[in-house]
Amino acid sequence: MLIFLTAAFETSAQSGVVIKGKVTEGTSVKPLEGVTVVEVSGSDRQLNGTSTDAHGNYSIKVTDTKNKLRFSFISFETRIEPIGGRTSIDVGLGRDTSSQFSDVIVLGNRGGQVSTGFTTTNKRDLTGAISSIKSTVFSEVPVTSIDQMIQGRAAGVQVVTSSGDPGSGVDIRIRGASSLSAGNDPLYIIDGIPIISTPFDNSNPGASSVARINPIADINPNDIERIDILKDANAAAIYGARAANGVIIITTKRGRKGFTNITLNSQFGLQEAPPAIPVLNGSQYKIMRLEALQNSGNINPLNAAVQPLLNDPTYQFYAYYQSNTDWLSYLRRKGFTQTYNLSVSGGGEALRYNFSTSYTGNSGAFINTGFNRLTTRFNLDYKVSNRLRFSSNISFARSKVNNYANYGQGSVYYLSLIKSTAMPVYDIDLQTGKPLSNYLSVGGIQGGLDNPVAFANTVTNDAYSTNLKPNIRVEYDIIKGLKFTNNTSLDFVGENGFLYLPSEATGLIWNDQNFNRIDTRDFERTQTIIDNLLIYNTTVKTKYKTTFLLGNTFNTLRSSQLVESGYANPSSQIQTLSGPARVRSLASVNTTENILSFFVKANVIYNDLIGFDVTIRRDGSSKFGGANKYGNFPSVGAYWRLSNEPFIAKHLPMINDLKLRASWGQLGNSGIPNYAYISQFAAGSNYLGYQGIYQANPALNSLRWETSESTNLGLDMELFNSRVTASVDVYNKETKNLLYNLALPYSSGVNTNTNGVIGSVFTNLGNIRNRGIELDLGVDVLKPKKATGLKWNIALNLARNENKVLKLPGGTITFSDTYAGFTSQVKQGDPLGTYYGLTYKGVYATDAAAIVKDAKGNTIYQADGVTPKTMVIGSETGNQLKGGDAIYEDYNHDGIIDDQDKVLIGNANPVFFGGLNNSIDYKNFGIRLFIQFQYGNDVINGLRYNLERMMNTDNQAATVLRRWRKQGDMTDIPRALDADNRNSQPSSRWVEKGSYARLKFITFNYRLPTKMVQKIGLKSIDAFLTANNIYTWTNYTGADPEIALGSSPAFIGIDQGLTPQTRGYTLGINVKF
Amino acid sequence: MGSLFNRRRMSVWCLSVLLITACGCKKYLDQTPENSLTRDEFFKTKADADAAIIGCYDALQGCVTQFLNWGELRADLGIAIINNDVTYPFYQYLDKTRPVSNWTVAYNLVGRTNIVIEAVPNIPNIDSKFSKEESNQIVAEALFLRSLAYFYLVRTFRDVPLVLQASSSDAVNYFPVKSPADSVLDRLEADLAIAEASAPVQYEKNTDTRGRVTKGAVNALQADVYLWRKKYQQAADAAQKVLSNKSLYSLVAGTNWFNIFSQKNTSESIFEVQFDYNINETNGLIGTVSNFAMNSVLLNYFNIDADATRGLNNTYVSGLSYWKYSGLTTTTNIFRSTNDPNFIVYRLPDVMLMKAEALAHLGEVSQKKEAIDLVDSIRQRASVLLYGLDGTAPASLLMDLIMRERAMELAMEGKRWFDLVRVATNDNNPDFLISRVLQSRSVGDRALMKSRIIDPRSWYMPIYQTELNRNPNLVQNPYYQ
Repeated sequence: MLIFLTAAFETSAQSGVVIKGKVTEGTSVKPLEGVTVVEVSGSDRQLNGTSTDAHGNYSIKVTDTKNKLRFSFISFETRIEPIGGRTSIDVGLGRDTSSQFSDVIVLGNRGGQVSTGFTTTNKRDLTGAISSIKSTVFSEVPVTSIDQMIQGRAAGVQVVTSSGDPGSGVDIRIRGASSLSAGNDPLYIIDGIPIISTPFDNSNPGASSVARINPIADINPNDIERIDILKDANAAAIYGARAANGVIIITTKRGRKGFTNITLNSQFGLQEAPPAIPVLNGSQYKIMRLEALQNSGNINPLNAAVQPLLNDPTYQFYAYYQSNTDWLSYLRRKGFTQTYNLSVSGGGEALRYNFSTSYTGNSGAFINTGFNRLTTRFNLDYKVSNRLRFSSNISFARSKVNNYANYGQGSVYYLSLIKSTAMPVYDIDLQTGKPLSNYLSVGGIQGGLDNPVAFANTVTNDAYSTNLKPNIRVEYDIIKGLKFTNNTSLDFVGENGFLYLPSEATGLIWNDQNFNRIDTRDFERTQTIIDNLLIYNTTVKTKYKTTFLLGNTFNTLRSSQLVESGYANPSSQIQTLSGPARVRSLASVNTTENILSFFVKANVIYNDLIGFDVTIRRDGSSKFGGANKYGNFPSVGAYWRLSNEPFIAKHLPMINDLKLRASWGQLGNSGIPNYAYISQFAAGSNYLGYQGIYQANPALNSLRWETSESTNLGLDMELFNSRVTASVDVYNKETKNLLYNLALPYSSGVNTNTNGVIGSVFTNLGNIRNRGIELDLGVDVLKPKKATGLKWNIALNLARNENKVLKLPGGTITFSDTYAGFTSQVKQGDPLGTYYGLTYKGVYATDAAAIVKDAKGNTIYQADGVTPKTMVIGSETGNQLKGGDAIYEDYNHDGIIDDQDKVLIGNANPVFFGGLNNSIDYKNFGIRLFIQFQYGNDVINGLRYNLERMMNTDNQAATVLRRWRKQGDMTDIPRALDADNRNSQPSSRWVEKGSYARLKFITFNYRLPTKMVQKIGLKSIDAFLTANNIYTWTNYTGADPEIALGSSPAFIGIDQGLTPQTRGYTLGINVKF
Repeated sequence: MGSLFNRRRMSVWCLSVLLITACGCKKYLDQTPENSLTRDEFFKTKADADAAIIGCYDALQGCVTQFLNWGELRADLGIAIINNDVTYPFYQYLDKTRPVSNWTVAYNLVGRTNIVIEAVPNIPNIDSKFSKEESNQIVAEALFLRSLAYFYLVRTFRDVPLVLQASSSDAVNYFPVKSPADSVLDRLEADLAIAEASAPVQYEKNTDTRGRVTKGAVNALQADVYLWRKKYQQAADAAQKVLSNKSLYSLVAGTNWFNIFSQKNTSESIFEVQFDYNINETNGLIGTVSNFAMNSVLLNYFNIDADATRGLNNTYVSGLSYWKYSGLTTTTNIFRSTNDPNFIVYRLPDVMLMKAEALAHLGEVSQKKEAIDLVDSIRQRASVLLYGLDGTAPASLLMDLIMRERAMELAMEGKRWFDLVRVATNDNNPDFLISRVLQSRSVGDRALMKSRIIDPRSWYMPIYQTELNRNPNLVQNPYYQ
């Protein structure tokens, strides 16, 4: 196609005439150097060109004297001169007064173009629900990844940073979670092209603990012009089957006609070390452990678990248990971030460009964690003729994440808290008692818990990603108003992961499969997309503006993975797979997904008063079989601009704009693994050295798309000379035929291993509804007449989403995710993300208090009528509760604390959430103050669970010094009890309110006076100082109330003790040349 | 050239690009997996049938730890030295949340064999190099393995879902209900009769003969099933079929008794699940057994008989650790450094004692005499005093002696709990089980233990909670409701 077009443009050469001349500035004699002189045809096609020399002279050999010469120069007006019979043409170019050179884009709240997918629309004409964020909003925010920019900026878009580790991603939910197994992540589109946005699937053997890279983090935030978030079915309909979770459209900066702009940004940031949680010191730890063992009946002084706690110097390993180590102090540090960004943009009549390159280096708040990224982007627009245009975007990124690794025991932060403080970091000579230089990494000590300092210092865990996204677009105007567009793009994401567990960290010996273990992997994904579009714009009788769009898309996503894991490398110094290493596992996986789509869209606007659009998309996917391959996704929308009706305009002059919107549509979700519907047989089940094969997946002939149907009603208004702008949206989104990886009964005999879940198949079941209301409000509190006066703008967004599982076969589904004793489940009638558990009511002060009472509070006696019945846990023959044990509400008064006493004790969904931004400007100064908040959600404080349960060898928080220790103690913390979970049952003890408001950042910026700057030959200098995460208002007792949503939609709000986000400071300078 | 590019032609070009790309895309959406075979590609050749049955054995390997848990740990030959999920059954503390009642591994085996039984018989119609006889042999292996899985399930849970249909597509009912134990066992008897007809007597390689399904293995399982169902004559007949094949099955000499475990696949092995560390085939038997020491009850048996063949440094080592899975030699304390002991499902003394048990119940003097001779031939191999009783001894005494011999010969091989349940149930003598269990527990624990096993319904395990969650059609077992 492209070759053909290019070939078609070859012109037949004629012997030409040479034209000479001189170009000067205006009417003066001052020569202009570098003026572009181009011969253009009647259809405005550029045939050949030259430019003027230092004296303003040029010489050009033209092909045809019927053509014209075009003279153009940045910041000067363009002149076109017919050649005619002339051989010498002198021109004077006047200054162009229309173009502005400031590239600070100041758009009105209601103005501007919004990307709606394949086309852009004036925001005035929208019918769907779209939130937009412009680059000006985040130019002063020190973020390293674009997804972080969105947090708190758009109503109804919940963004949660997953952890404080460098390079970690965010979880985004647009209008709530609506899928159980098909994913809840939005679709990302960059410059019209859907990109690969999810991290690699880590479910392969050996890959689980290797560092991962979030592909979104490979995009340089400085390249972004604007972000549009399509929230309802009408707005996203053009993306059909992939858009059910909303669409985030990213538009990158492009060159503008004018002076070349060179911008250099530098940022330097410091991040505070994570806060410590007070834990028991060495001797307190030993007392607690001894108590736990004694309480569970282990009083044998020669028991391997008891011996270390007795302070008996004759004990063989006595020396290992005499320290008081502050583990966290060996691991945490101040984080440092540096960012450099250089961009060059500009262009003339025919060719515009934007080139940028950036480097980000980030060292995390824990040793040996970091993130590095190098990006380049080249955006080019070339106008061949009035009718034909080419454009191209090429971006490249290379990044590296290094992170902690262990055997899945948790984050370094978590490990540093639970590691016994009685133990030393470094080994001790047991004979002489002298400290040794190697780490104390003895298998089996403290239940096999690793030495976190040894791991953090010696383990290598790196991931490198390569991200290349070239695309080329051709636009051709067939007739006036009818445009053909072809878009061809490639998205390549490659990732190399590398994990090395040296023996000095693990303390293992040569025949162990984790001895000097190496996991390496090579993953790559390639997405090719070809779009063909016909777009017809016309205006009928000046009042009807119409747009028709017809198109199709071919999308191929190929993914290949190679995972190699070996052990017994000869030396810790050799950290690649080499000769003597033995194989742990070898696996490679290749998959391909093809999607074929057709779509039509029609849009009619009458007189800026009423708008109407309809979209139909038909998607076919290789993920489904037979008749279920294709899905149809229709949508309609309309608006009515009331403010253009005479009665409003006349009687309510304070209303500048008032628009009502309504839309309805269906979208799809197919986010399941490839080939899920095909009956498959897998190798790898061997016996006696023979190769075996087993059925890994039954045929799922009824598997089909998940469909979400949504209705949206919106109201946009501007009041009081547009000082107040507001948008309100109300929506109802119902997802049907939910794709779910259903865990089958084991007795079904289905033995699949899809996604690591044994005995599960994909199926369609149930309905989930999300409904809610969103408010965007902007107020110019102070709006000065002079541009340099005092200006104060407040922007508030607020959203409430109500999630409810409307229908679920069987009523309840239990997921395999568990944490802190809680099991994830979905129940019909509940929202996703609820917790069931016991109601915790304190601690029995004495053994005698743990008796059964009936509903009226009367004691229940045993058969003898004298002895009160004692509470038991689990079952009738379960353990009897004693003094120091947890009191749980026995709802059915049967004296047994069991599943029947479990009630709804928490809901992780916030009642509302949003963001509040204040920006104040005066002369060259500015202040930005941004608060992000959510209210009304519950959190399971899993970190506290692990630090207060006192049932294993983990060290515990200092709060357990309050624990029950003897009969009669009145306290709120139960006794220590080894290997017995009666006091750490999933209960309201671990559930806390998770509401918070976080002063996400406060920025002071200063723009140096233009005159001063121009004296030194620059255009402008801006500097800013930002402090982020300065303060958090919350009653939550954990380290960070912003808790990752994770991958399971039903198991959210679980604090797993990930690295908390901490306060940071960033100094930034932007220089324009 | 220019004319190629005029307005009208250009629009034709653009439209044709749209149209061409929009057509002929049926194939485009038909993607098949590269990393696995599809059903359309599989079950076409002899090689496919062979691979599918090996996949069943692979599932059997995954069963061995759970089979040991079910068959041994609640009984009287071990004593728990630690409290954890493995040892809870020892305290008769069975809770629906404990992994010991998770039957996944057994149904995994059932699921794989169902597919073989359904699909393999059709292959001879496609592959001329694959005969009907070869097909029948593979089906026989699958039928045996499925029956073995169900026999463990029935003995552990009593009524269980009887799933016989291959789970090939989502048209299959994945939510079965329980079937009465008797109907499951009826099916096993029928299936084993078919398997017996087609199973080979032996294979070319000795490891295959001991590690894959043979006629001898089928007969051993038949004897076991009949014995469980009080069908004593059939049990004795089935056992005799094994004993008759003297060329294949003979007792290992007493001096080499430990080789049965350390060397694997000896001449008395009938069916043992094979493991080999060198090809990454390992299991958790050593770890499971390490949670237990040998019970003083069994120690007394060995001491009274001064059993040097099977006692110290054979069945156990000093410190009373069981040695069958974890040891390599009898002379020094050399441990098996790799987690690959075989799990012996049936070996000759087991079948001999099964026959003895059947004969003791049949009750004729000559039959009881033969039963005693069977016991004595095992004792002779162990170089301990022979009982030398005649056929007039009461059956109850014989049962005591047989059970005692089974304990000494087969300790920690996953047999004992089933033995106790079988005899106590068949002889309608709950105390046979209860007294033995209590005798092996510490005095302080006996009252609690008794309360937990006094009801024979408690001898069967609860259905695992996860399974109940996943299958609304299942009802918890009676004792645990």
